Amino acid sequence: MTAPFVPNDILRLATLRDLKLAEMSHEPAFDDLTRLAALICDTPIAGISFVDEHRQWFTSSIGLSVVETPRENAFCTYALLTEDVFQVRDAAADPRFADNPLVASGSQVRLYAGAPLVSRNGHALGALCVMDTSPRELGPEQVEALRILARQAMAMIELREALGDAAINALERTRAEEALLESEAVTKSFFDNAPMMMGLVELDGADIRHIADNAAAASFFGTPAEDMQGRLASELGVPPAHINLWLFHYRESERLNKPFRFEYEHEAPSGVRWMSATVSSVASAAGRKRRFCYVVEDVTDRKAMEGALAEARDKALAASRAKSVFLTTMNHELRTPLNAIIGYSELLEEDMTAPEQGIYSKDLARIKAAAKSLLGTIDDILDLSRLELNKITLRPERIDVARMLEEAGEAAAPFAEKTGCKLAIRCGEGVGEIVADPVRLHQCLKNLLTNAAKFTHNGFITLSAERAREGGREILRLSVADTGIGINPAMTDQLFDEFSQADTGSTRRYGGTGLGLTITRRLCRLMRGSIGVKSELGRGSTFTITLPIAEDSSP
Amino acid sequence: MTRSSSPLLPPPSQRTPYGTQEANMARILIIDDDKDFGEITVRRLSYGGHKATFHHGPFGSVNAIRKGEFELVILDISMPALNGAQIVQLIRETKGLEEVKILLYSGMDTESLRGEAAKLDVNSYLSKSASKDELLAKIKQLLPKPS
Repeated sequence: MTAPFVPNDILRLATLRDLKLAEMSHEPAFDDLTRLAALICDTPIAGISFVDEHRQWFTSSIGLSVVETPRENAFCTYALLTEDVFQVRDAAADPRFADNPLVASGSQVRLYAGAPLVSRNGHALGALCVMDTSPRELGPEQVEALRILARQAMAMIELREALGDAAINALERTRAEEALLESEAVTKSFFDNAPMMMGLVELDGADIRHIADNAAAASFFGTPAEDMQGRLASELGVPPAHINLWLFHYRESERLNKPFRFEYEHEAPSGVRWMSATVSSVASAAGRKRRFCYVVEDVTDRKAMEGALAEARDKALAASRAKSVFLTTMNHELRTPLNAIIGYSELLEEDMTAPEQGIYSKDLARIKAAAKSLLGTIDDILDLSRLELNKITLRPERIDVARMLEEAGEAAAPFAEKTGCKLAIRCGEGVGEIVADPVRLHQCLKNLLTNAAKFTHNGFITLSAERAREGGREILRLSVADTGIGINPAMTDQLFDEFSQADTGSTRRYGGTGLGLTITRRLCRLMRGSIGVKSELGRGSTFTITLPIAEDSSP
Repeated sequence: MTRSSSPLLPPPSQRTPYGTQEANMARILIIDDDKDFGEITVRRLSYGGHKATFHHGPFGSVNAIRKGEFELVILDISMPALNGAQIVQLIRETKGLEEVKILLYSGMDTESLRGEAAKLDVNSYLSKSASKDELLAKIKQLLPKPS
């Protein structure tokens, strides 16, 4: 069966919308009315339903498992049309309702009686109804009761709509108040549980009145927080000198209009404590006394640590200064006699020209060489100390690379000669100039060359230079290759570390402090370059220095 | 202890690879508070044909330079009594000595010596551990003979 036509449906639907009934699914306020209807009519099922163009829905019901049905076959629709109580004695026998899901299945409804819910402007919007599972009829009192209850339901709906906004506003106000209370609770919990002492005060002449103090502050004063409220600092046992100190800082924070931090000593029974305080004036209502908040923290431990740190730093600085002074003194004291030894050996060598003096001149040469070697060691130790103390200043100049190689080769020639090595220099085409510290670069090359000579016997040493591009910048590669004993690959990493030759035994066998490579690497890094090594045991080693061609400070 | 200028006697052997003394007669003053090393320097120079004068210690050195009309002062700057900077300043501020050549000559390590030389108004520097030949080469560079 199709749904019967309901007159004035457009206006009726508008009223439904106005009363916001479409949004109403379950309305607990109607439940009492529904229950009352079921009691009065002695039915297991009762409900309040509304009908729009598509559906019927219950906003309150008992004994029903469905809350919404299609508009077709809805009993309620007939109640709307009747505009009075509409009653069906046995729906199963009535062809209009035989297909209704409430009848055919589910609740097995037989009796239906519904009173229309008529709005003030005369539109039937829905029905208050009762249903029973066996065929029967309601008595006239029960029918009248349904009418009354329907009017009550409609009155409630209209009253609710009229009150609507005011009621909702009131609800929102309550919620805002709750939120405020909650935020207050959060603030209070923070205030109460903060590990620092904090509170709010007013200035009262030459005294300070406590308005609110947190638990940490109360425990400091030894007075419960609520007992501190409204009391003067003097009453709380704060000595006058401290009250004046606080007054001064409160007034300063007000004058400067910003928080003011200060530290002071507090004489606690356990000893003197250092306190760090911050005060700030807070906005207060017009006509009210200016208020201030304070935060105080015990910083005794931190202060002690700071003191210890400062002391340690002073000691370290003093030790570093003492080291520098010692190095300078030692340097001078060692050099003076060594220079004299070298100088006199040279003079003697020069003066001994008679053939019979030849045996002495060989010894003299040895004395001179030993003294020079000792001087070299002193230089190395000094250089390393300076590198560690960051006290080496580079003095970059333009250097002709080919000439620099020649000079390094000349300086290393005596060492190569001593171990029977041939020294070759290979300078690639167009290597040109580099901006670097000539003294330090010479030192690096000489270190590598003398090292090569030391570990190569009757072999070849090649010093070479080439320009290349690496990582987008122009670089100079300086290599010293030898055909010597080589280095165990496992040892190449620690080769550049302080005091380590590849094989600790080799220090004794080959001599040297093992500082040369350490210094060379550090100098290379200082010159924004690097050094690396490739080696094969028994076949030789190649050390390569890589330097940027142009220094930033180039002229 | 005397602080007056006292030329030391030349060494017994006067063999020089640079020709006769007269041809190379540059007026050189050595200022050092180390008497031994002063003697070494005088003798080193003598092998280059230079007849140098030794002045012991810093005091009176400015007067000595003026009186001796020296062209080159070989100055040790690690003397504890008066530091190198003060002596150099003193020399440079003395009228008539603005043009005298000064060679810093010290037992300091190269790094310190370079640092000092860079700070002072001097012509060059050399380490005392440099050989005689290096010293003579340096003198030659500082006092080119008029050809």
